[in-house]
Amino acid sequence: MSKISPRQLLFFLAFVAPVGKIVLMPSQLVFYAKNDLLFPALIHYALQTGVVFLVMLLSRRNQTLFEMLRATFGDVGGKICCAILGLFFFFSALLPVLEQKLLVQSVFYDTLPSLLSFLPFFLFSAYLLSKPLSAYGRTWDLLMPVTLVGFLGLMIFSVGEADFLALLPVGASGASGIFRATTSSSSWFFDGALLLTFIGKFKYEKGLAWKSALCYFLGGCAVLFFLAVFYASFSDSAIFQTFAFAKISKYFSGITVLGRIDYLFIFLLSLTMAFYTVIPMRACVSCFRETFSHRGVPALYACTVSAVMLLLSVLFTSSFGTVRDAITGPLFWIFPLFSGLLPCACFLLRRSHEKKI
Amino acid sequence: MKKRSNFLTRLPLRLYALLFAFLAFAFFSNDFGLVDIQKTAIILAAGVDKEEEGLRLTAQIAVPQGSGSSFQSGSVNLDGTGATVSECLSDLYAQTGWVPKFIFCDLVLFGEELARENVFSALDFFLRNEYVPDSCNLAVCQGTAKDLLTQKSAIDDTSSFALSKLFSDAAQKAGKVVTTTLKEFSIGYYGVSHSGYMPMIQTLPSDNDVSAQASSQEGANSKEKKQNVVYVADQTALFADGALVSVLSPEQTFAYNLLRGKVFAGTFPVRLDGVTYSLSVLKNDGESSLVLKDEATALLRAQVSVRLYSKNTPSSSLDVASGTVDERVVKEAESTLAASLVSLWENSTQKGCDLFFLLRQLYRSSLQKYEEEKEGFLSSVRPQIQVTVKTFE
Repeated sequence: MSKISPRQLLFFLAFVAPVGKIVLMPSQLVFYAKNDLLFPALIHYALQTGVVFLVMLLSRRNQTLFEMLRATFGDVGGKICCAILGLFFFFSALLPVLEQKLLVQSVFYDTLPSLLSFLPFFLFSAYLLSKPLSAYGRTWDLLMPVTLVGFLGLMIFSVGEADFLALLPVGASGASGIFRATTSSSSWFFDGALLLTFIGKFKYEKGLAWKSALCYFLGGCAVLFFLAVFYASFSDSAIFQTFAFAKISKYFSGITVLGRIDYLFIFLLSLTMAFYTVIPMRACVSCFRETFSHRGVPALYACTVSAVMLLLSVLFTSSFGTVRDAITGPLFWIFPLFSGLLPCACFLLRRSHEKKI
Repeated sequence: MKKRSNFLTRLPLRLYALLFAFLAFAFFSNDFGLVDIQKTAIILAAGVDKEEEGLRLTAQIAVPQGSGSSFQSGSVNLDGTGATVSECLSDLYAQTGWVPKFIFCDLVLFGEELARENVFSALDFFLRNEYVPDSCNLAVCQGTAKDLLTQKSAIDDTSSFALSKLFSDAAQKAGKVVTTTLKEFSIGYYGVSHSGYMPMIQTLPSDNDVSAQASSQEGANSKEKKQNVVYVADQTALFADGALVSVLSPEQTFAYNLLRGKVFAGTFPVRLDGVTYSLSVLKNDGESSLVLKDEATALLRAQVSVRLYSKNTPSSSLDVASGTVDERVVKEAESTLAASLVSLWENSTQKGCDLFFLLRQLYRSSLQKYEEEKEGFLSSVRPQIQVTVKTFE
């Protein structure tokens, strides 16, 4: 069985998972919470840290989620559950992919490029999706220093120009503002559900549950710090600062002399983002492979999921706002359901008595 | 242990692979989207004026030219009209076939008439456009932006380059100009203060032409006989709700810079008993903060260390050697600066411009107090002015 080491999993939680939350989420939070944007993010992180802890406790059974589903609901019932989960992961992958596409088009191109410019991402995703989980683990090893250098560089360049008093007064948006910001940003927090597809594929070690929760929360602290610097940099204009992470560092005084060397750090984080964007798609592929009892080669699933995602990204080229509003608005509940309640409910699943080969 | 050793052995290879991937990513990120320089207009500065029906956008566009050729301008000025800035750009595109690019635009200039109405009718385009750097400078000018940009500067062939010299670090440290960027101005406008400022640019006729002197042999005959001008930005335009409401004099602009604590090496004159003393600022510290005790008070504090730079009467050798400033001159300097600060306060608050962002400070200190007192708050605040001038020994 393709496995990852606990260290690689911790790197994923601390260094890879956070980068998906710094592209469009900051301006989305500001839309409702204004200067209180840290609170909804903190609520999400507190909840998801708990979910990560629970999922890691579940992994002590040393069984995959699919084995437990089959043991509980039978073969057909288990497959139906896998298919539903697969659809959820496909749905949750949509926003990160569209986000990534807009990021590439807006930040790396100074005029609107052709649709073909983002096509290589789907070749990349099709390739990566056909690889076993162990390949992801090795990638996370390599992405750890990449993210660290990128994030630290960006923050060092940004923090000097930030006015942290802009975060005052606390509670200006009120409880309703914080609540609406929390619900509308749910679509960025499904890491607990992602972890479900990893359980049984690493060896549980003593203390891994709290270590994972701590790593995830530390990654969350980095995101919270980023959000604080973001709002402190743009203050009342933060609401229309989409792709803030690519702009936040350009006010550094040395930029006028050195040029946009901050792009080096932006590229580093973008590299990690490209890998992060594929993770929910991988979870989707993993679920569908279980649904179809691993029939066909992995590349078939990888190419199918990538191709459908490509079609959707082309289809939603000029209607990203509508898609985002739907996912962050009326459909927000899907995320807490699958990434909050579902992992907790997994404790009710029976243990599988199948013997592993 | 073995696992760790394996990991460490493979790490360099992995890092090399990663470095290669990163370089490939960086290299191919946009190089295939090569820009056809013949069809691209790199806008150095944009001027926006109000027209009878809509707006006029004047774009100063860089024209690439080879070295060693005869003297000629490195830029051209083109203008388009329309109801919005983007329509002006379309008009410009229709006229020339050039695709205007704002990525290098470092200055957006507003004509006075537009500024007195609301600059955000034009700034809306720049805020929405991802490709306009929000670190670009904003300024307002007397008359029209088109006239200012198309005038011939005595300093540089390209007027936007001459204007950018006004906003240099040196000019700011001298305390003669107050600059603002698109980002700063929009934060002021969208914040609770709804206020902001921009440098006010004027043109003065000049007989000198530095650029012409540099290439006099080549271009003496071909040079247009057009009046050279120099640009001055020692006044500051104040904005409330996006509209120009008042203009700070050069003295008030200097006093405002002292409050911001940004003046180093700037000079200011002090007149005493018919003698004018020029004092050089060696160190400056300042603040403008809101104090909420019994009543709301704006503390405007400026502290400067000065040295006598020159005076307009002959001095004894002992006086030149000491370099210290007489106590009476120091007192006079304090009262001069205090008077500038008083007039600065009156000028801004009477016109409804929250130049010191006191409403923002009130909002940040207490949401409840802000809700209670925001109406008519500026007029209710009492200024407390503290000026300390120290002589450097």
